[in-house]
Amino acid sequence: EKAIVLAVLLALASCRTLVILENVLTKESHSSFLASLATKDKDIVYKYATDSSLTIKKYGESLYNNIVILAPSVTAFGNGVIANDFLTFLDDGGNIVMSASSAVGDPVKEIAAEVGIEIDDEGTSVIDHMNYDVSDVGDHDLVVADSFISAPVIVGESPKPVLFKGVGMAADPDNSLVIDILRASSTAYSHAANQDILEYPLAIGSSLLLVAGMQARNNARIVIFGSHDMLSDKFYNADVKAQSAEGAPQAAGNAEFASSVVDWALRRNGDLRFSNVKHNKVGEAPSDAAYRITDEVEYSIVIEEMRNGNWEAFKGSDVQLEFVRIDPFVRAFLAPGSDGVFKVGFKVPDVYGVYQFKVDYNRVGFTHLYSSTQVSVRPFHHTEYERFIPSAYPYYASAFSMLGGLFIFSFVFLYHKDTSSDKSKAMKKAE
Amino acid sequence: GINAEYGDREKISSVFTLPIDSLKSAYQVTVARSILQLPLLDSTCDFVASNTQLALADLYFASHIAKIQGCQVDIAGIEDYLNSEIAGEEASMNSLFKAVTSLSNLEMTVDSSVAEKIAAKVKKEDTVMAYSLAYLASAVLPGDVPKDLVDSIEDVAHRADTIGNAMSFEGGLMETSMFLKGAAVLSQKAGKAALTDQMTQRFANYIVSNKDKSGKSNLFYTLVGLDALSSGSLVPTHLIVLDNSAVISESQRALKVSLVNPLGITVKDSTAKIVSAKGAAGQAIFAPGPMAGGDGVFEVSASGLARGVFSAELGFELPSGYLAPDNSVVKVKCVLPVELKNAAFKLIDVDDNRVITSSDLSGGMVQGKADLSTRLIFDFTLLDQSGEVTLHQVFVRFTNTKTKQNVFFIAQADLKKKYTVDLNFRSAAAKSFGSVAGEYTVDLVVGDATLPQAMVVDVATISLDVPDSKEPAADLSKQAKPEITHLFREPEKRPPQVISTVFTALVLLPGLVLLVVWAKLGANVSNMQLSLPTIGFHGGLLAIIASYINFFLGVNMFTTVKYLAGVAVVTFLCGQRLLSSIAAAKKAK
Repeated sequence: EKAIVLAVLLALASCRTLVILENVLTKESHSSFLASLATKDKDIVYKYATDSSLTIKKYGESLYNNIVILAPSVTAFGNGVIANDFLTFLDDGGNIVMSASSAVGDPVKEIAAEVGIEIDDEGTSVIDHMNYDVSDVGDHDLVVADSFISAPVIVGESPKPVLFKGVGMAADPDNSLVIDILRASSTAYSHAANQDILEYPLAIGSSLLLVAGMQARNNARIVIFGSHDMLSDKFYNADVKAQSAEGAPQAAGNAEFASSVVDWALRRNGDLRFSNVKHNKVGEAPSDAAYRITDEVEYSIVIEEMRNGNWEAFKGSDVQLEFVRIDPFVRAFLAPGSDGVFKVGFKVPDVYGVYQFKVDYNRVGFTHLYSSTQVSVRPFHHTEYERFIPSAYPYYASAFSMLGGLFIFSFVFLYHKDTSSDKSKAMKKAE
Repeated sequence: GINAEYGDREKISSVFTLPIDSLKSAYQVTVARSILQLPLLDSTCDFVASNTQLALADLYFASHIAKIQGCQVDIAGIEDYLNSEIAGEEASMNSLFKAVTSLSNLEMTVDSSVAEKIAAKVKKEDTVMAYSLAYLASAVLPGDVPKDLVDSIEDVAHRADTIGNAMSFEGGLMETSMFLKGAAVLSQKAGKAALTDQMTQRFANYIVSNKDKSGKSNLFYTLVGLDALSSGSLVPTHLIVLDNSAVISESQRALKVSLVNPLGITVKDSTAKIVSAKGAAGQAIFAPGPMAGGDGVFEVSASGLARGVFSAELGFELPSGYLAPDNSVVKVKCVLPVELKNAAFKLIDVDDNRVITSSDLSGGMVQGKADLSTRLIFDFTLLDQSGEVTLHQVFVRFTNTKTKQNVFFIAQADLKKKYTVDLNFRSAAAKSFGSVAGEYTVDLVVGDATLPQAMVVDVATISLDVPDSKEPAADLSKQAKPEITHLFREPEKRPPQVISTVFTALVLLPGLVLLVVWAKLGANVSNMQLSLPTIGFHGGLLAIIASYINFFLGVNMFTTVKYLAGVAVVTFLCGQRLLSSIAAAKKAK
């Protein structure tokens, strides 16, 4: 009974996050990250990875909206929770943020593998002999990274270089759902620092991913930070300067970068929704009647974007409208307006049939926006064709001249007096 | 401890400065500055004078500041107020502690019954914090320290969690620091160290790990903890601090070591020596023997440089009462540059078995052509001052000049440390290059932990020719697609206006002819008589024709038929009358 009430209350709750910590020290070493998380989401539950009361799903319902796993080296989660449970959580629409490290354990590797991201073996690290931080006196695995994906909705406007120390990842380049949030530089590679390289490593150069994300088709998101340390207070407060870089050390951009990426992962940024799809003939009110070929029509749609947890007008400049009857006949850019109203006008093609107004917007970092409205397009009525064509004037002339002739003929035919026969009769009489 | 090299001291000092916005922050700033031996701020005393109320927390902060800085706290009735707080029935350990220490700081007398109260209260509350506060309070009371309390220190310490080589209480930094402070002052008063060496070392490791945090509170408690560890009563621990990042090279042959207490202050009257400094292969980099310098700052110069990572074991002689570091082995890395030598770059045509291009790279970058029947062989050695070496990262990198895609190959070294890259394009073109033809720049990327920086050597530019070359696939699904505007069907061509006009004229011509011939033949309408049927009939005909014209101009059939129905009847009747009257007229003739 109590559980049912709890489940109902949870369903009504807005956003609930589970944070899985590796051990007691994590709460202190990552206190800034956790504090920042607490400002993004009011309802957070903290549990240790091996906690015997760790549950994700109860009575068929997910208990949380988001899960943050800060337990890279855990060998088995408590209470029999396995990697598959997190996959089911993703399938149900939940979002995951995960950190890995050079001591990555099997559960974390499995979760990543299921979403198409391969984390390198335990004991390997990302090594960059060109861009290691000047404070690295060991194996050059403390790396300064700045190859961010150009998607401000995920990484922020101009992200500063970040400090990274951890394990590398690779993804199939044909996988269109994986997003390369932060890549390694061209001189970096992933390998165990104390072993010679005898075969090709997992990835070299910009194919090596330091922070990888995936947006599933149900718009659930998962982000994997290859470095557990890059989220720690120590790295947040550090100064970075790559060995190969000029100039003075600058403050690490870890805090802003992590905050931006986590905002995206928890669906506080980058969600799109549409409403108020309207279409009508220019100068008329919207109606259900079919359009006619060569009509001028205007279409408008309101698109909103989630920014910092609030819905705001979307300001994209490359949203397109397609007018499709199996193949698109018209494809035009929608002009953004105030309040997120996107409008365009065009002329209906001169091919009749059943069409759809389609807005299919798919960009990196945004959820997939798809709107389809069906309309009919009819040909001309028999009364809508062109009339009084100059080429037809001869025909008009012939018809009307015949009518006119008939009218005049009626007079002549009825009232003609034959004056010559009278004359001849009169002449005959006179003789 | 606080590592001077990384600006720890500056970072932490910069936090404990103006502005002061509360008594608590004034307290933290003053205490921190006194621990760090920085000059105290003048404005603190004024702030205390104007902001202190007769409340326990305020007096606690104000009294501490007064003791350190020598301010006056001029509020009437402090002694009575504080003693009444102590005498209160439900006074918590926190209140007792604050009242006792405030009275002690202000050099006022404390009620003698308080020792029993503390003993009773701490047993009742039984938390780590309660014990810590009890230690701090008991240490400032006159008389001997209760034996039970001193014995409890080690028991309470066992409540801490040990993770790795660090020990901390569940309450975190504040709880651990306050415990250490309490244990230190009580140990000092009791005259014996209450914690074991191992415990002290582990607590120290934990406290030091917090020096990178941000926030005044965190840093304040870190300093409190470090101060407790350095006070000399809790068997102080020391940490080895390296000044030049433990990396030695041609230009920097000296290893500098500082022996400091947890607060970063060097240990006087100490000496250090190198016990051994050997690398993995057994070669020595520092000769065993005493290190130059003294009083906590030591230096030794490398006798001969050899690439690699060395473990230098250090030995220390410390004045009495000091605990040697738990880790006296220091990792020192020696970095040396390498040179590329004996390079041989060859492009071979496999089918003809002849060498197309061959170069030793002395003349700069090689220009070459390759197709599916080409084999690339690139040999070289890497030399440093001691001979051939093998390094961790030795890759050959192909970069497509147009798409900027990289393809890497690993160079493998044989037993004589000669590196070779052997590439057969027949298989590699599809497998590694994705069958993308084009121009590629080839360079050699050499990197290692023992190289000061990665080395990139430009080797060649190769034009790769692949039949059925694939364009690198561009993912269009995430971009805007090209615009489409519908091409409307052209209207059919019409004859020029002139032709229509001419034919219209031609069509109207017979009408003209009719009129002319009629005139010639003498057609007339002499027999017409104006009467009603006549008007009706002709008028009706005209109306019918008019309705045809109207229908043509755009009225629909229904209206027309309705109109015509009426008009037709009228016209018919009139016409009949007319014709019968004409026929009658004809008969009469």
